[in-house]
Amino acid sequence: MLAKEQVGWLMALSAPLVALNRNDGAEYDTRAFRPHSTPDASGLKDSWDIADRDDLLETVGNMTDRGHAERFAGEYWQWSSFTLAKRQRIREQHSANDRLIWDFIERSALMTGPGGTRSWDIGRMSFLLRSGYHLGWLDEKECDFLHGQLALRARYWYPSWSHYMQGFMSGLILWRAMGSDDPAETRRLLVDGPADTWVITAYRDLRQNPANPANLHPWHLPLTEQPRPASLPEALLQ
Amino acid sequence: MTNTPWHLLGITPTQDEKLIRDAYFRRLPDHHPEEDPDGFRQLRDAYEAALEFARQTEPDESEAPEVTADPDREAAQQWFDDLCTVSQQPAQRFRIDAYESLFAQLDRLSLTSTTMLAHPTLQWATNHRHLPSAMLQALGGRLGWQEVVTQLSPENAVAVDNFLRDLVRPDPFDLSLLSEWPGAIQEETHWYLGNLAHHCRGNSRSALAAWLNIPLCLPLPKAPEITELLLRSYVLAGEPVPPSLLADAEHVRAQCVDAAEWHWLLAEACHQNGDHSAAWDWLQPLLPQPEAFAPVSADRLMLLFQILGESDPEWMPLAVAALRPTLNGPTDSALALRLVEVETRLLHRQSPAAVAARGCINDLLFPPEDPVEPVAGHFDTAEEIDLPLIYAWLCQLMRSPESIWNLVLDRSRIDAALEHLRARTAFLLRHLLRLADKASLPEQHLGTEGEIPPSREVLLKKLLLNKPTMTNVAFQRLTAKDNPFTDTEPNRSISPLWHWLHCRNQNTVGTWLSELEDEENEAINLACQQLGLMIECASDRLFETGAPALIALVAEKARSPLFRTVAAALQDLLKSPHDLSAIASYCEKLLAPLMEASWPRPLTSLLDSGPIRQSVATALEAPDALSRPEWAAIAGGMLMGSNNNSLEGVCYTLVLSTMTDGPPEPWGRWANNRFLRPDQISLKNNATLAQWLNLAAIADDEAPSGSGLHEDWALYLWAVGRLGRTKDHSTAIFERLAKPLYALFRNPQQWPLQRVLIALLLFQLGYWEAKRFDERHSPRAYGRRYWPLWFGGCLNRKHFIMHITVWFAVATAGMLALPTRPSWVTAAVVLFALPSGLGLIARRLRDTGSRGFGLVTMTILLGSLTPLLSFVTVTILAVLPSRDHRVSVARIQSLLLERLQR
Repeated sequence: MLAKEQVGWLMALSAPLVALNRNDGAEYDTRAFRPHSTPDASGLKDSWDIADRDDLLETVGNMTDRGHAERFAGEYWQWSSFTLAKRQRIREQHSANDRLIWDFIERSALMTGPGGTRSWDIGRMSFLLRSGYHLGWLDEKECDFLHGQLALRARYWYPSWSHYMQGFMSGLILWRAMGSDDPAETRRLLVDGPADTWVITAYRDLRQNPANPANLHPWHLPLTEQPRPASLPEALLQ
Repeated sequence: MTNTPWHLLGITPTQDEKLIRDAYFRRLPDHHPEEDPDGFRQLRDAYEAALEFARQTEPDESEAPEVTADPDREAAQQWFDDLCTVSQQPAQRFRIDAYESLFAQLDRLSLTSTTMLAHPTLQWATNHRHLPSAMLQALGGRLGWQEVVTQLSPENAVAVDNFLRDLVRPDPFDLSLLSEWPGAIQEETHWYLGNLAHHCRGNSRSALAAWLNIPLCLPLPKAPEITELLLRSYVLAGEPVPPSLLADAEHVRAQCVDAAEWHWLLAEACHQNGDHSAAWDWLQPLLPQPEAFAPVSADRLMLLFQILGESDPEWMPLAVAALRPTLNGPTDSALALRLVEVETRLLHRQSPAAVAARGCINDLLFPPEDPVEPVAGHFDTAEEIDLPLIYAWLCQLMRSPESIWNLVLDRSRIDAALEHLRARTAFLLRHLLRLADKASLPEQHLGTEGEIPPSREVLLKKLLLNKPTMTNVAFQRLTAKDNPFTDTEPNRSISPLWHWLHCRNQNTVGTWLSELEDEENEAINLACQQLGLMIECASDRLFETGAPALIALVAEKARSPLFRTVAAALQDLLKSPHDLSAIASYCEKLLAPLMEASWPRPLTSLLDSGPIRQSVATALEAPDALSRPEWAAIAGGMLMGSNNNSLEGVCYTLVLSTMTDGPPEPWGRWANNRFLRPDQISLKNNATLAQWLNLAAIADDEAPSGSGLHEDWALYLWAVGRLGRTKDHSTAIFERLAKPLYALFRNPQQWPLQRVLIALLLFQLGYWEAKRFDERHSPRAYGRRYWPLWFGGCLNRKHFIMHITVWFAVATAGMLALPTRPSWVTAAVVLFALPSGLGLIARRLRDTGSRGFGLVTMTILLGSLTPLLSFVTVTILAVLPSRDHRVSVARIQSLLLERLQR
C-alpha cells in the first residue's frame, strides 16, 4: 500500500496535463484525473480511440516507450553525446525547416537533458491511467503499479522535476508544431512557442502551485515497489 | 652513354634550357620522389647537369658531365643530417633558437644545394609535424616547399598542400615548455594534447571524456593554452573539472587577453561542478560589459539564467538590464521556461529585491508596452506611488556597483526614470518613512526584517549578508553626506566587519576602514583581529587579494608605530606567503615591537595562525632546517603566538637554538625579557628557568664557564625542562618529589654525598617523566634525522660527552671526597651510579635508534643489567653493612698496630 505522498508523487507524472486543464476540473493529487466529473469514456474514444480497458492497456503499452518522443529521441541523444562543433556541423547539413526543429531541440535540450521529450509520453500515459481509473477500468493497485513503472522510466531519463516538466512542455510544443498544417504556425511555435502565454501560464502553475505534489515532494522520494497485479499482462510495461 | 644526363632526360644534347626543362618535367611523373627517390635524384641531377652544360658557351657533347657526387650534394646532405640531429634532441627540438644556426648555414649553401634540400626536407617535415610550426613554416619558406607541391602527383599534392596549410596554425602551446623533459614524455605530452585538441573538434563527448581520464606520466605544463584546452575539454565533455585545474585557470586568466571568454569558461566549469555561487561570481563581473553578451549563444544565455536562478536570483533585474540588447534577439522564447524556474525560486522571498526581481521576470515573460513609464510616472504622482516597487529599485541601485549603475543609466528608456529616482531618493525615503509611520504600508511589503523605515544598520547587515561581493558602492552611498540614512544613525558601528568576515568581502572592509579615521583605536584593534583571521584563511583567495590592501590601509591609518610595524611585516609576508625567509623576516620584524610595546591581544590569533604553523612544520622537515639561523626567529614566532603559559615553546626553541650554528642572539634577549615574567609562566621556579636559559646560552659557548656546578645544574634543569614539557608538572612527580628534593639539594648544610644522591634521584625522576612524555611523543614522529635532539636526554653531542664526564666526576668525587669512609660507600657509588648512568644512556640510545655510537652494544648490555646490578648491590649493602664495617675496623686496628710497632 502506498503512502499518500507516494501516490501524490506518482500522480504528479501527469501534472503538466493538470496544469493545462485546470479549468476543466483536473486535480493534481488524486488518482482520478477529474475526480469531480462524471466518468465518461467518450473523451478517450474521440481523442485516443480508446473504448475499453484492453484498448487502454494496449495504448499505454505501445506508447510509453515508443510514443511521440521517439521521433526526436535521436536528436536529443546527439545533443547530449556530440560536441558543440559536431552539432553545428549537423545543423548546417539540415534544410531550413529541419534547422528550425534542430534549433528548438538544441534550446530545449539545455533544460530537459538527454531525456528530451520522453516525459511528454510518460505524462500522457499517466493521464490515460488516471482516466482509466476514473472510468473504473483499472483498480487502485493496477493504477499504482503502472504508475510505478512510468516512474522508473521518468527517473531514468530525468534528474529532477524541473527537467521532467520542461521536457513535457517541450514535447507538447514540438507535437503541436509538427501537427500543424500551417508552415507559418509551425515556424512560430518552434521559434516562439515556449514564450506563448498559455505555455508560461501553465508552466507557472505547474511549478508554483503548492497543490502540485511535484512542488512538495522531492524527485527522488522513495517509492514502495508494488507487486504486479495478476490482472495485468506480463508483458505490459516491463 | 647510358648515364648521361641527355639519356636520362630522353633528349639529345642541347643548349636550349627550355627544352631541357620541358624534358625534365615530362619525365618527372615517372620518378616520384616518394615512390622512386633514387630515380628522382638521378633525374634531378641529370636536369641540373644538363642545365649547367647548356650554359657553357661552346658545348661539347664529349665533355658532357657525368652524374657524380658533387660538393653541393655533400653540403646539402650534411645540412640535412644536422637538421635531423637537432630534431632528435629532446632538449633542443622544441626551441626555435636551436635551429638558428641551421638557418644561418642555409644561407651559405649554394642554390643547387637548397634546391636539392627542398623535397627531402618536405618529406621529413610531414613526418615531424610535432616540431614547432613556426620553424617548419620558416623552413618551408626558405626551401620553397610550395614549388615542390607543383611537381607532385595530384593525390600527393593534396596531402602535402594540406600539410602546408596546417602549418599556418600556431602550435597548441609553447612547445619549449617540454624541453626539459625526456623525449618519451615529450612525445607522450604532444601526442596527448594533439589528440585532446582533435577530440575537442571531434564528435563524441564520451570519447573526449575518455581522453581526459587517460593517466599521464607527468602533469601537463601549466601554459595558458594548455589550461584553456583542458578546461574547454572538461566543459565540452561534461566532466567534473578538477579543483587544481580551476585554480590554474584562475591564475592563467589574468594573463589572457579575452578575459570575458575566460569568465564564461570558468563559470561553466564551476556550474558543471555544482558550485553555482562560484559560477555566478565569474559571470557577475561581465554584467557591466555589454560586449561580453553581444555574441552570446543561446546555450550561454540559458546557462547564465540557470546559474543566476540557482545562486542569486535577486540579481535578475540588473542582469536583465545588462542583457536587454541580447534578450531582444530571437533567443528570448527559449528563456521563458527558465525564467519561470528563476521566478519559482524567488517565490517565497519577500525582500524588496526579490519583489523587484519577480516583477522584472514578469515583465520579461509578459512584456508591457512601456516597462519604464509606469515607474517613472510614480515619481511624479507620489501619492499613488507603488512603494514596494520603488523601494525595490532603490535597493537594487544601492546594491549595484558603479559600473552597473552607469550601465543602467545609459539605457535610453530607463535613463529618465532612474535619474529621477536617484535625484529624489531622499524625498522618497522620507515619504516612505511617513507612510510607514502611519502604518499604511501592508505588512508583507516590509520585508523580513522590517526595513521600512529603513534602518541603516539593518540594511547594511542585509546587504552584506545578501550580496557580500558587491556592497562597496552600497557602503559609499550609505556613508555619503547626502545620504538620508546618515541622519537617522549618525553613529557608525563596526559590526559590519563581522558580517564581512563571513562574507569574505575585502573591498567592502577596505572602503569601510577608509572612513574610520575618527574611530582609530577600536577600529584598528578590530582590524588587526581580522588580519589574524585573514591569515588563517590563507588558502583562500581572500588572503591574496584582500589582505595586502587591508594591511596597507591599516598601516596608513594607524597612528601607533607598533601597528605600522606589524602591518609592514605582514605586507612582506604576504608578498610571498610560502617563502620561509619572508616568514622569518616577518617574525623578526614582529619581535622588535613586541619587545617594546605591550602585547596586543588581537594579534595573538595572527601569530598563532594555521598557515604559519603549517609553514614552520613543513620547513622543519627540510634536511637543512636546523642549520638555518633564521629558524630561531621562526620558532620565536611560534612561541610568541602560542600560549605563553606553555613551556613547550621555550624548550623547543632553545633546543633549536643550541643545535644551530648561528648566534643565539634572540635567546639572550628573550631569556631576560618580560616574556618570562612570573605571571606568564605557571611553573613556579621562574628564577631557575631564567638561570637555565642563561646556562643554555653558556653551553653554546657564548658565556664563560667555570662556575662550578653549572653542568650539574644544566642536567638537572634539563630534567626539569623535560618535566615542564609534560604540561602537567604541577600535579605530577615534580610537584610531589622533585621540588622537595630540589630544596634539599639546595641546602648547603646537607651532606655532600646526600646531595649527589639527591641529584641522581632528581635526574632519574626527570628521566622517568621525560620518558613518559616521549611515549606519547615518540622521536620517530619528528623523523630520525632529529635524533640529536633526543640523544641521551642531552641538548647535543657536546652535552652528551659532558653528561658522561659528570657521571664519572661525581663517582670519582664521591670516592675522593670520602677517603676515610667505609669502603661500601664507594662501592655503592660506583656500582649504583655507574650502571644506572650507563643504563640510562643505553635506553636513550635504544629509544632514539642511534646507529652511530661505538659503545651502543656495551651500554645496552650494561643497561639491561642495571636493575639486577642495582638490586644485588643494594641487597649486599643492606645485608652486610656491619660486616663491611667490622672488616674496616679490623683493618684500621691492624694499621695502628703496625705504626705502633714501628
